[in-house]
Amino acid sequence: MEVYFDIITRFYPLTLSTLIILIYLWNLLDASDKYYRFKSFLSYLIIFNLVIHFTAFYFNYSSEIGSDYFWIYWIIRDILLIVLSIIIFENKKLAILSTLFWISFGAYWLVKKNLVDELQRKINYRVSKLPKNNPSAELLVSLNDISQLPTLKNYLSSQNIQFEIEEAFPDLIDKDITDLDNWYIIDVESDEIANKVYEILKNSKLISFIEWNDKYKVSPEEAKSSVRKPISFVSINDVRAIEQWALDALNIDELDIKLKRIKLKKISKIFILDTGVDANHEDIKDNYFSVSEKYDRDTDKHGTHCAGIAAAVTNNQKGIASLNYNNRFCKITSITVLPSGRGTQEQIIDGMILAADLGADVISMSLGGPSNDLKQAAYEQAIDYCNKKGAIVVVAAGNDNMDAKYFSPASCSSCITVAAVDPNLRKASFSNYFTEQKYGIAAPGVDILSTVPLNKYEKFNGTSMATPFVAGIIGIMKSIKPDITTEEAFNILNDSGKNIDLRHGHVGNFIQPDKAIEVLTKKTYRFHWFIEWIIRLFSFSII
Amino acid sequence: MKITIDFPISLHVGIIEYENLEGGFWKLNENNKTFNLKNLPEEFNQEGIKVAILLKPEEEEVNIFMSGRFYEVISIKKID
Repeated sequence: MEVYFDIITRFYPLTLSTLIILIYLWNLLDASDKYYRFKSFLSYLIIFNLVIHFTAFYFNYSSEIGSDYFWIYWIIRDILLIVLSIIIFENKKLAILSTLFWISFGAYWLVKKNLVDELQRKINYRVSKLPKNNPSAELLVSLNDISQLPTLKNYLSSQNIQFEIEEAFPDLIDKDITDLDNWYIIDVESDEIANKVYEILKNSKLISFIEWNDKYKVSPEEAKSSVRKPISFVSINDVRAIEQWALDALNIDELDIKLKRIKLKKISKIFILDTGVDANHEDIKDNYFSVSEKYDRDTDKHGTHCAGIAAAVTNNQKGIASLNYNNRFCKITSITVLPSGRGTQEQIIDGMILAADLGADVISMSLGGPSNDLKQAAYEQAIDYCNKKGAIVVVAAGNDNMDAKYFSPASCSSCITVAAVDPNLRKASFSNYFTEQKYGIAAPGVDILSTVPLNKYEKFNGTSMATPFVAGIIGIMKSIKPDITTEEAFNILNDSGKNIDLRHGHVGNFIQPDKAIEVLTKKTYRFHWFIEWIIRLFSFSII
Repeated sequence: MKITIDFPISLHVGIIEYENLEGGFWKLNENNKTFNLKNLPEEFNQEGIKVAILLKPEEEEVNIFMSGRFYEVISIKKID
């Protein structure tokens, strides 16, 4: 049901314009016998439209920004608009102008939001998700080679198994850039048969992976030996997003629903202090601003990879997506502090000061080295300087499977330190962990697809990859609440985060950006809801 | 003839391995003790080969790998 309300929600500006146009038509016709039937029909249409419109409101704005009852104020606004329109319709010239406005508004909305495409995508998505037979009796397998499909079929038939097999992702746009076309669904009649197939195939050389087509079926131990469930997204169209397990774990669809109606107070600036960034990368350039040409090329791949994670251009039908919903909230830039991947503490601190002076909102540092008291003190002062200038510093925990307190700047007390988790949401084997860290948190850091120079994409592992995820969401938080402090941002991320398995080491809670934004917006708007209401009541700016 | 070297070097024999971290780097595994390698010549970028290698420890600096100390390869020879 949720998806239908979501579709309605997307159409609500259209229902408003349609509603007013219908009222205009209704007003034009007199109630003579000639038009009586048509006028009755129009009346029904208006009532139907009203129901749709206010249902959309309810589902779009209940639990939205500021108050659980915010949708009531929106409904009052639209009722006022409708009443105003009816009054205007008494004057013929004004009526025509008003109708033209509403037709243009509806058309603009339709074109701007690509609603038709979006609706089609949603329907396709839902259809592809529909279980064909018994969802608990489906297995997903990945063939080592597609040419081995007949062999697999013959093998299963020889075991007296009745089955159907078909491509798991027949709608893949570009099969050259992914192995997902090797995935097939084996549909059998019952769980028992599926179990039997699982046992037969799990050690087969024909396939690389096998798992139940239902992630909740797999026990944690079984999950260890299988791959993740293939993913798809409703809110993004970037072609390789299906390879970004992290976006699925970070609930990007839910995040986008929350972000789409938020009015940001500024576009925040995320500074990537690393090996430089390939500013001309197809999936970065539109979200990139330059502070100096010398930083706009990558001496390695690392900086570009981190930049893509923090704020790759999303919904451009290219490459990957980031948390930066419709590219509205953050821009990224680069300061090269580690040419060729290595450098001195002095270079890092120079970079931090420069970033803070240039107005950074978030400084993302996927770097580090062994700590000592002297180094620690210098970093603490630098971070303190950045904080005072309004920047939140986010750093990687390190990759030695050790206590992060032995690394700097990871061990500094005023920065947010990020550990890495794997697709099973466990501490990554290499990730450093926390025993004394004040602001320690976890994010995806294994098998992370992102941008690398020359319009390419690669998967990297490391706490460096986890760091820009956190920088990205803090960038969004900063654009909603520019004066948010490190402590506030951390508390929100930590309190809204997911507890993860501690058996492999304490790495803090796993960030849940959608929930963090929910908490932040409620906190931000709690005391200003009345002002917000007045502004929104008389403007369409948020639409 | 006596040769004096003004920096610490050490000779190791082990297997070349690839560490898939932060974009990847090569390391030497000598009896389960590992040495991260800097400037490994391309012809040795191959997992599983046995080598004798002369290493100079790098100064512990800030880097993107955040995984132990790096060693500069002074000299390397494949062992069959």
